[in-house]
Order: sequence, then C-alpha cells, then structure tokens
Amino acid sequence: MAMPVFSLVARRLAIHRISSPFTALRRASTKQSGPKLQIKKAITEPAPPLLARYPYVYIFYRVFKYGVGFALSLHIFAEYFFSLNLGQGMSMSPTLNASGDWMLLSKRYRRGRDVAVGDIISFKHPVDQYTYSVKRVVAMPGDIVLRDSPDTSGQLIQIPEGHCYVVGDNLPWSRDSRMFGPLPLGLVKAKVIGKFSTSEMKWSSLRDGGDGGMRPYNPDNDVD
Amino acid sequence: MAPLVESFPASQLTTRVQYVANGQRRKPPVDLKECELMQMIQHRCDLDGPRFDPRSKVVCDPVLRLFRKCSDKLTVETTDWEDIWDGTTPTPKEK
Repeated sequence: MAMPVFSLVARRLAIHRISSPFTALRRASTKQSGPKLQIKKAITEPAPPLLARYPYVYIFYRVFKYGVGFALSLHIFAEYFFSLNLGQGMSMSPTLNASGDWMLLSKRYRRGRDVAVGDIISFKHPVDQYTYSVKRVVAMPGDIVLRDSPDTSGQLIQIPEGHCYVVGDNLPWSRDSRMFGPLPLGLVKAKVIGKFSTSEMKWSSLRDGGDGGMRPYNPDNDVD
Repeated sequence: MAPLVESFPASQLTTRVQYVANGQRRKPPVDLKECELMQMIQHRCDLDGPRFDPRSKVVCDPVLRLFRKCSDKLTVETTDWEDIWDGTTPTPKEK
C-alpha cells in the first residue's frame, strides 16, 4: 500500500524539479502584454434541473401547471359541451319543479343552433345581464305566434329574423317574451336535454321538450 | 333589443302568413289547412293554500295551444284561428 503512494509522490516531485527552470525561462522569453488567456475546464456533468434544486418552486410549479390545465379544461367542457345546473323558480312548473331540479344542458345548441319549436332552452336574460333563464321556445324566426297568453288579447306577431319567442310553461308566473319581446338567438346558451328531480330521485329526458313539447294534435286534450 | 314588429288579429292570419319575415311574398303560398296540426300544453299553476304551509300544493290547469307546422321553417300558432277564421264556419264579426 505504501509503495505506490511513495512512487507517485516521488515522480511528481521529480517532474516539478525538472520542469520548473524551463518553464520559468520560457515564460520570461514569451511574455505578452495582453490579458492572460484562461482556459476553463469543460464541465462534463450537466447540472441538475433548476426546479429540482428548489423543491418548493418545483412543487408550486407542478401544482400551478396542473391546476391551470384542469381549470381550463373544465371551463371549455362547461362552456362548449355539457353542464349540470340547479334550476329555481315557478316559471317552468310543472315541467321543472320550483326548486330541487337539476338540469342537464347541452351547449351544442348555443346561439340557437338546431333549436326547434317546443324545445326548452337556457338563455342570458335580455334585461338583466347577470341572470340566466330557462323557458320554452314557441316560435322561431319567421313563425307567427300569439303575442300574449292564449285567451287574452288574441294579437299575433311574426317573429323577425334572428329571434325566437320564449314562453314559460306556467303562464301567470313567467316573465318571458310576453314581457321583453322576441329573444335574440345570440343570447341562447344551451338546450335543456334532461332533468334530475331530487324529490323523485330519477332522471327524465327533455330532449323533445318533455310532456309540454310539440306533439301531433290529440282531440282528447281539447276540452273546449 | 328586438326590432319593432306589428301585431295583428287572428282574422288577418290567412293573408299575413303569405309573407316572410322580411316582407316579401312567400313562394310557394301556404294553405294553413293543409299543414299538420300540432299541440302544445302549457299550464296555469298556482299554490293552493298559504305560502309556507307544508300541506299547500301546486295546482295546475292545462292550457292548450294549437299550431300548424307547414315545414321545418314555418310553424304558425292557430289557437285563436282554428274553427273561427279558418273558413269552415261562417266568419264572425271582425274584432
């Protein structure tokens, strides 16, 4: 063990002793006035990633990245695909209960795309910009419909282009197109395609408008 | 807001239906009696009893609305027109 160590040290000393006078000579003869050139040893091993060196930054970055990603995907899904909303109010009774009914909204029908007479739609209220409302479509552009409730004034109107006429199922309790006029189709956000009643604990489809939707005439329903 | 539109009584429905929304004449002309008769049942619901009484119930009376569906593009409400202004019965006095 002692032998190789000794020989190494001896060799080093020998080289140093021999080379030092020559190097001193050479330096003296080739002295330059400029800045001394320094050559750094190349770093062969890469440094660890910056985020791995600071664990708290790393954790924050990961949480932030996935949090933003999750929030964005949730927003896009709820805005352009489907959403589940709790409805409230008497205006769509008895199709939708005054409270405790969840509605499944399909955003494929936003801006009135493929909406037909008899569908239940969700739209931004034309008077109160922060409110969303759910009503039934009774007329699309070009259609002719009663301006007020049946059996009142009897006045008809033709719906202008780009508008529709919405009326709640519960006529005396609903504030709808009878109050604010034809609804711009651009305010339509979704169609109600299903509901979950928490009182009955069951799903039912409203894709074709439910029981109050447009149906072929049945004389049994005509009591007059 | 929506543009202003003119309202008209059910007696003018047969002539008014021949025009599209921008005022041009409809081609080909439609005959409402030929179109499919559809219905929509709406309601007049109200709470029967005091408001915060758990025994109070929501009671609904149905309201029948009639429509003529001429095509996918044209649906006309004929609740006040059927059997009154459709030409089958003697026309009543103009309102």
